[in-house]
Amino acid sequence: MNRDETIRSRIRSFPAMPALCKQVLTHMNDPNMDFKSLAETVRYDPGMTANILKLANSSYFGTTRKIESLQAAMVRLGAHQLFQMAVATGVAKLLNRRLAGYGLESSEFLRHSVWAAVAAEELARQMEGPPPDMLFTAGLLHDIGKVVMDEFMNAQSADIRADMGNSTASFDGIEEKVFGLTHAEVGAEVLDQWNLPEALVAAVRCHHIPDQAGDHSRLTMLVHLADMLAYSEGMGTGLDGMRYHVAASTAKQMGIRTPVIERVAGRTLERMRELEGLLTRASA
Amino acid sequence: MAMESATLPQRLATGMTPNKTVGIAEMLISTDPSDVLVTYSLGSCLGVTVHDPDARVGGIIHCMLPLSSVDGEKAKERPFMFVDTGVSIFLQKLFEAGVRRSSAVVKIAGCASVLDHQNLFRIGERNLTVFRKLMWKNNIIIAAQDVGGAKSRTVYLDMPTGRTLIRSDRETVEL
Repeated sequence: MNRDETIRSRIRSFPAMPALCKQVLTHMNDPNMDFKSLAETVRYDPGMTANILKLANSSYFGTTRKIESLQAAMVRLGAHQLFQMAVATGVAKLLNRRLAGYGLESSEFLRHSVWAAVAAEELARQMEGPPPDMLFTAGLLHDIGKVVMDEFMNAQSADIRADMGNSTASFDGIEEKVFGLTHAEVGAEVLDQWNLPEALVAAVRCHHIPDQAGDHSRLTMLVHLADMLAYSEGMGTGLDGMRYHVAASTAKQMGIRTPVIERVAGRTLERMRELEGLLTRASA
Repeated sequence: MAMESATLPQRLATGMTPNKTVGIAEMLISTDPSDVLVTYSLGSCLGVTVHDPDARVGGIIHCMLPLSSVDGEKAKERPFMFVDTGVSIFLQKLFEAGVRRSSAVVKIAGCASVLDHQNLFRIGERNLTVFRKLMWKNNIIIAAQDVGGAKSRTVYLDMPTGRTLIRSDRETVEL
């Protein structure tokens, strides 16, 4: 097998999407499916039930009144929010791991992912119009391809370091050159395999080239900016450092300026701390 | 930003075991001569180490953003998030702990940036500008700096010797 085939086979053998996410997703696509039957399914997973209740009552997702039953939590939050939480608790384990090839400790990779998810929401809040669907989840999953690429990165890290020293190219450009594909493309393949919505797949695939995201450019642009902000704040900077390009059209297209970016950075710090703690515990 | 290290740092391994961590938007002042302080992963953030060998007092601050005016509410909750409010209080606390302007050694690191031709993410550059103005006003000299570029830095302050070390990816240098 050559390396390209090996990477593809690793994508195919990547863990399946957590079962609950699949069920909530089916629910979102079929409005006739009721919450009661969904709650019945979740109930069989005590860990997930506990995590969902904890998340539903956290100030991050939470409402003011305490929610005690799973079904109440689901009804109150709605399918969309529930999907976010199911994905967040379901993938926490996948994200809370050390990526030796990328030079990231387990907490650093999870922190980068959570930071991007929260910052994407905060950015949307600073702009006109409702936030695009799937924004939080796209932020959380944008770098999931790194989990697959890590072993290949580990094997090639000497070449990568040499390339970084000899050029000023962006890190995803160097990945493309060395492997023929980037962590973003690999991540999109994983999410496609999970049958996640097209918008989510596109946002992950194009999070470093948001002007190529077609119909999903707003979602992708927000994830891109949130990712750039995460690197700016030193969240999950490993071998790649801060070697990523801010897409040339961003400022103009989003009508965003530096003070807004700075305000979002400050607000993201507080909101992400609680969520990071919850997800770290959920992954234990 | 074309402002890589002003002094030429010397390469060496850390070999230090930090016992106190300064979080993002936090500061810490130490009067314990056996402490090793660390603040992790400064991207565009500004990290400042101050050490006074006579008073045997030192400290680190890790500021995220240049000006508190961008978010007044946050500035009240977390003054150390911002260079203007944070560094002012940091200096005041250092002086109260016995640090003197004449013997304080001030070193800085961070203020990096993602690759950005639109200057949307020029947070690091702005952090540095505000800090320099503050030092000018306070009549304090910056002894050494390792700032700018597209790399993230971790900063150690070794209280026993007063040395400041910077780690980035796998390289460690003394400032």
